[in-house]
Amino acid sequence: MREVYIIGAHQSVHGNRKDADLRKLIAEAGNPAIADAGIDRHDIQALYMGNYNANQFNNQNTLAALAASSLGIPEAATLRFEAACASGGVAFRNAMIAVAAGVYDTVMVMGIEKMNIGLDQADADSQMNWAKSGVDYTYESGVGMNGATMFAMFAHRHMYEYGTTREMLAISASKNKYHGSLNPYAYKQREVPVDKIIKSPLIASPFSTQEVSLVTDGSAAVILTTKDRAKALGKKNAVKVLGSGHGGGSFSVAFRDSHVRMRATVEAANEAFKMAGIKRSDISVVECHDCFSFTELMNIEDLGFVEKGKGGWFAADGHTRLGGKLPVNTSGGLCAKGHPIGATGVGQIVEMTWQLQDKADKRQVKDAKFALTHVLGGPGSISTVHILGRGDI
Amino acid sequence: MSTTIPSMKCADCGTIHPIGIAICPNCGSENISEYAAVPTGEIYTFSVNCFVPAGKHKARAPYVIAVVKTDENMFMTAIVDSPKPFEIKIGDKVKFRGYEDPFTPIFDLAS
Ligand SMILES: [Zn+2]
Repeated sequence: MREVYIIGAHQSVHGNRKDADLRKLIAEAGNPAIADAGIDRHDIQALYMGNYNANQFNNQNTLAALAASSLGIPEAATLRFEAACASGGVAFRNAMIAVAAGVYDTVMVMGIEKMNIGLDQADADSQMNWAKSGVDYTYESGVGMNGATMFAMFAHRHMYEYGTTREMLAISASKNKYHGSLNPYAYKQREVPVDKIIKSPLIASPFSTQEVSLVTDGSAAVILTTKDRAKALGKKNAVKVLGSGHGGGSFSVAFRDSHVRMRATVEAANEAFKMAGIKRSDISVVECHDCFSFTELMNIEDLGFVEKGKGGWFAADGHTRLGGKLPVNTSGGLCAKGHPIGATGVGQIVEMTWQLQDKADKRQVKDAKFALTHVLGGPGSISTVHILGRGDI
Repeated sequence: MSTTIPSMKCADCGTIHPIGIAICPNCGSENISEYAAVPTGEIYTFSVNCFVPAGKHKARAPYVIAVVKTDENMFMTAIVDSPKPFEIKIGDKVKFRGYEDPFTPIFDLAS
């Protein structure tokens, strides 16, 4: 396999982007990523797109081809990846594999979701069903299960088995709101104290409205290439893709082997660390899938940073905050930066690329050497983990 | 109260699953047929669904969605109908009431 490098990265401002249609979101991530890479756009041989549900949210299928044409590269080979909330991570992994295998030298990975739809365009019932169409329709969706209730069930079981507290969940969420307050690309750039998080109205017990991923419009793009090409372009700060993992778990929540751990995450992390050949303790900074406050606590256990059951204590001790032992979600994560579903996994790569290039501004983790990204989708049945390293060109 | 839960039993691995499933989610076998399962069990985990802006459960909110573990070790996602949803706990005993529609199994608290 060839070594693969990230030579360009960018993302749109996340939010309720009434001003931006799909083409504008494509442009806001795509063009700056090409400029960052310093390549001729026609060097891009393929465009891989992470997108969950534009076919329902926006009446638009085949988003990868739309993106390539919009960017003036209609000749590129295009493919859309749908893996619910893991779509962007899966698209990135497959682009990496294509470059590593020698199929392509240069690939753009983009992720997009435009989820804020007016009630004049679609009724609330339809919108609710589109958002939860990634869960088991026949056996679970009918009782009203969605992402929030599903992860809430994991939270309650984890609290029952390990003594994780309501406050630990809120501390983690408040930390991510703080990180989001430092990120000019985040949907919510305001700090929210722990007591306010706990007192906010419940959305699905134990989660309040301040502990859920945001319905977000946004896009992100990165450009991958080979070491030789990165060298020829003089990209000294190109970020190296050291490891990639893609794990699976039961699709239906009731039929799962555990309700305190996500097998998909465990397997993706093990695969990625094996490929990278580094230890958990080598990682300087993490972006993980905090779709709800609790999810981040479970993730840092499943990724192998903390013993099972101890995630809440690790967060409560401040270790996941900027300045802590292992800063997690410096972007603000899904609960503050936002969760444009298909863009999330690619946006994480953008944030970690900036960390490894010392371009993360107020969120910069000093001397960050290795970074890890993690997504979880559909509903917990798919996970990808990527390990990135500072440029060595 | 229903005296049994209409369900499916896998002849190859012996696990029990919700009615209608064509392929055993435990082992992949299609050697699976209808079975009358015991109607009692407990709440394995749950959440109180509070935000229901639309759809058939709108008037029901806040209401309990649970993974129920039956006394025969069948796991199913269902609604547990309780007048006091915020008092529900893991381990509470439940009894199957029936399907409200083909997608909505309902349990009651057993006591
Ligand atoms: Zn079986």
